[in-house]
Amino acid sequence: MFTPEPASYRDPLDLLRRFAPTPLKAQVYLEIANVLLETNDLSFLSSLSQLAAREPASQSCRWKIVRDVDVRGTTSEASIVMAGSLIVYCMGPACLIGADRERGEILAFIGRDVDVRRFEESILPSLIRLTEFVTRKQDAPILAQNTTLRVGGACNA
Amino acid sequence: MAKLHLINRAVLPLRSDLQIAGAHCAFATNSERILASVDRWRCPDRPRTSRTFEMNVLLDASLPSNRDVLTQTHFRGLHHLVFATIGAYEIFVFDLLRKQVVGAVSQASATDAAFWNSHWLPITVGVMGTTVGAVPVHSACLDRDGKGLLIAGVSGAGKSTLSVALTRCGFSLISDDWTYISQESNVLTAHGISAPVKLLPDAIQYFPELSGRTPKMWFNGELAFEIEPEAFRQNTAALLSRPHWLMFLERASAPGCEFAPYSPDEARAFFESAAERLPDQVPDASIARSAMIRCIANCGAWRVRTGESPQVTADAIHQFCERN
Repeated sequence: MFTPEPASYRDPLDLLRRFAPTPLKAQVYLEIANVLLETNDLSFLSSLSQLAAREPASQSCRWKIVRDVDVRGTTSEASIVMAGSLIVYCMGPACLIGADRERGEILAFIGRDVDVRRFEESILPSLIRLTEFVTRKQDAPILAQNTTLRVGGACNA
Repeated sequence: MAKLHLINRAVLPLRSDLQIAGAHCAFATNSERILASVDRWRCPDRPRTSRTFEMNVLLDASLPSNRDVLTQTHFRGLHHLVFATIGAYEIFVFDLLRKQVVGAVSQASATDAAFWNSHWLPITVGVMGTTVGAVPVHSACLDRDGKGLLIAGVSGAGKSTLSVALTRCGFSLISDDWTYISQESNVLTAHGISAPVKLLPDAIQYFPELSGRTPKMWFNGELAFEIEPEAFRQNTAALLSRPHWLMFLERASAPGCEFAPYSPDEARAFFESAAERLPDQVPDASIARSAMIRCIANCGAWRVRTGESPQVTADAIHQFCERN
């Protein structure tokens, strides 16, 4: 199988890397939702496939995950911002994830030095919880189910 | 341990209406210091319109303050979302679809008026402006007696250096790099956002007074002198003008400074080709921007081809504007 390496992407009119190519597309059934994955790195699909269920779920969620080869270094402590139908889950420049419940999608940049183990141990579980947030109907904050929150402030989740 | 911030208007009781480069920002925070820091942009309370964006900023005093805005700020965007991190803990998300900006900052940012006025609010308008009728165009803008001179050109053409030279000829600086254009009742207004003027290190040969300064590293990795724009304003309150002249600057190896007419189609093509690619999720913003660019391109436009120093070119432009 042809497995292209993610390449550095530069466009002077796209400094934010919005249009970084993500040519790999796949659908993976998870227990909580069917994930339509769009990415430029096959390793994300391999990791996700390990969680695949046999039957499709009733909910669907789009994931767009860009391997950001221009970002060096690994992840740092997580900061999470919840605002309305958005959650941003950030572990520094090497892991930026936005989850938009209204649009049913998760958008992420993962740095080049985040290896498969790091992705599967600390990022993939967060992506799954964010998928629950995106596909769940009620407003309960998935990321902090077992935590007492001070609304508006910051707390350790 | 993860740091979780729940941010909504209910927990941000301090409010202010801001007017930034023709865009209306409904600002909310929980910090008196942040509110004081953005006070220079305050405008009378006004109802929200399609040209309003909401900005909700939470001060989390427990966040570490050891961040460097110029070297530790990182931006990425996908679809309608733009993420920004400052250092390891401060985070912003810009939502172009919902016209909303949300962020959590440390005490260091909260108390740093220069952070808000010279960096973060200009960046915010740069990201959000197209969605709220403040269209960024890659050009400098100077004002002379209420008439605006837009100077466009590719990066490195010398817009900033020429702009500073023009301030020595009686022009007042509105912006040296990005100008924001809004339109009310068919009248175009060019706005500056008080961002620092960036001069590359070789500008020192034209402006010896820079010799006491040290160049800084900018977001894009470029080394440049940073100068407060107020130093180049005849009227320190003026941050806007009415576009009247439009000049496209080109460097030439031969001496002399030539002016040649530039057609509206050429002008429009230049601005379109220099415009940031916008995501498909905000098609209205792309349409509105193209319409605005068409209006700008209808100003009287000239190509200025110069092989002269910034001062000589500025003198030639000054004389040209006197005649036209």
